[in-house]
Amino acid sequence: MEPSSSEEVSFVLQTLIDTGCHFAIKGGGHDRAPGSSNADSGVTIDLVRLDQVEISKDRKGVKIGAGLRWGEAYLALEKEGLMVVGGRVSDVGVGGLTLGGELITATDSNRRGSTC
Amino acid sequence: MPDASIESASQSSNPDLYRSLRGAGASNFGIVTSFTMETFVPPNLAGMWGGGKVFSWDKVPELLRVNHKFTTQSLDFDPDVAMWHVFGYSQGYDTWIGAEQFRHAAHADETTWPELFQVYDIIEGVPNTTNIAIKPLSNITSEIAQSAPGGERNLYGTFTYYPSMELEQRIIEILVEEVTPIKNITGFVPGVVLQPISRSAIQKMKKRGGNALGIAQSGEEGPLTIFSTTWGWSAASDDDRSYAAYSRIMERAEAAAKEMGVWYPYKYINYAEATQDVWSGLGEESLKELRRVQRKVDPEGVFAKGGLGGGYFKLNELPEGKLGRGSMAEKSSDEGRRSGSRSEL
Repeated sequence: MEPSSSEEVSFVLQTLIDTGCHFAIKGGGHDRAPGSSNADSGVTIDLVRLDQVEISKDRKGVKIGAGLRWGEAYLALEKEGLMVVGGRVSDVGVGGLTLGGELITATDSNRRGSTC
Repeated sequence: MPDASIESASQSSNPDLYRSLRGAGASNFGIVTSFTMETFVPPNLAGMWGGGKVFSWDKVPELLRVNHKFTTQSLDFDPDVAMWHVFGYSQGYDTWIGAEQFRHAAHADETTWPELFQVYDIIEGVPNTTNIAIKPLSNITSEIAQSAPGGERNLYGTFTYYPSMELEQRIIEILVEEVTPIKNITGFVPGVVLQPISRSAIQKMKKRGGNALGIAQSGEEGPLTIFSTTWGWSAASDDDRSYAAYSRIMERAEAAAKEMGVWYPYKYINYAEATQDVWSGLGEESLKELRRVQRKVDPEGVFAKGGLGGGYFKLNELPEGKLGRGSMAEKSSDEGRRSGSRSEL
């Protein structure tokens, strides 16, 4: 499944709960262990369509979709002359790295700490 | 949220969930659909100074010496620097190498090295392996991605230690001892990655109410170094041999760190192998709090161990009588999950 909004994610999750169906969530899909980013005999919720990069009016914040990978997020921000503290490898997903604590970063964590 | 409702979490709304999400992994608290992050104008709009340099094996003692100095002194001196160290076996050249990666967020001249890195410029590298440049971050990060292509089988495992040259020397000896007998495994890329975390980065983790990582909670000041394996191979038929050598390295390296008194009880969840205990290092109180928050937001256990939601590093077991994966007519195949992890890119 590739939901494209929080509402669609909510609908998918509710349906999976109602039917008792095993599922996995895939962001960048960089995890190594089987079953992290896919569900054997179940449903994989692939966040790939949650791909927005919305810079706030004051340019001090940005909303980044959980399905983006760092390389894509950096490209969008570079066009605006901005940066966030984020991953060091372009094909790692924003979601997994951030939720794991984002200890190892590419940019300025000495000065700014981790991302979110 | 685990009950399929939609909520936001920040320091002011759902603060306990917000704190838990910052570091307790992606598989416990529902599905995050977007993140709001603080932006900044990079010190150099043209990009970041960075790249790598490869050294022959006879340079290892010297590298360990300058690396130690970098971790314990330089890292605090200049907030724009970062680096990491890789030691491993190159099957293509049938040789052992040390590879250093350098980053400087502000240094604007690619023909010179930032002061704190100059010592690495002086040590003789393998010819034609230095690739320093100033490039946009999107560019630098995709070069790193290309240097480690997906699709192969691989394993990561991790632990943390206080900077110690003696331990690093020992880790490298263990690596060579365990890899040498199986160095001809098809597509074998075995190595260790050592990544220093500065005092200031640890300090900054306390921003916005702090995070769920054990490091920042314990009052630890650092610096610390994160050990991980980098361990790739090609064929399923080599899974057992590869996994066995990996396991022995992890076991022996952690035992050595404990023996030397430099082991630190924290495991970075994003580098942890599925069977590693990432929770006990957090301390009893912090773990209790994470488990409380997980149970609070997910009373039905949708994201608990054995619940409908997959993934690893679960904080809680499925509450009794709740619907789990085993309740399904079609049983999911958990068997064989552990027979060598495989990348699913």
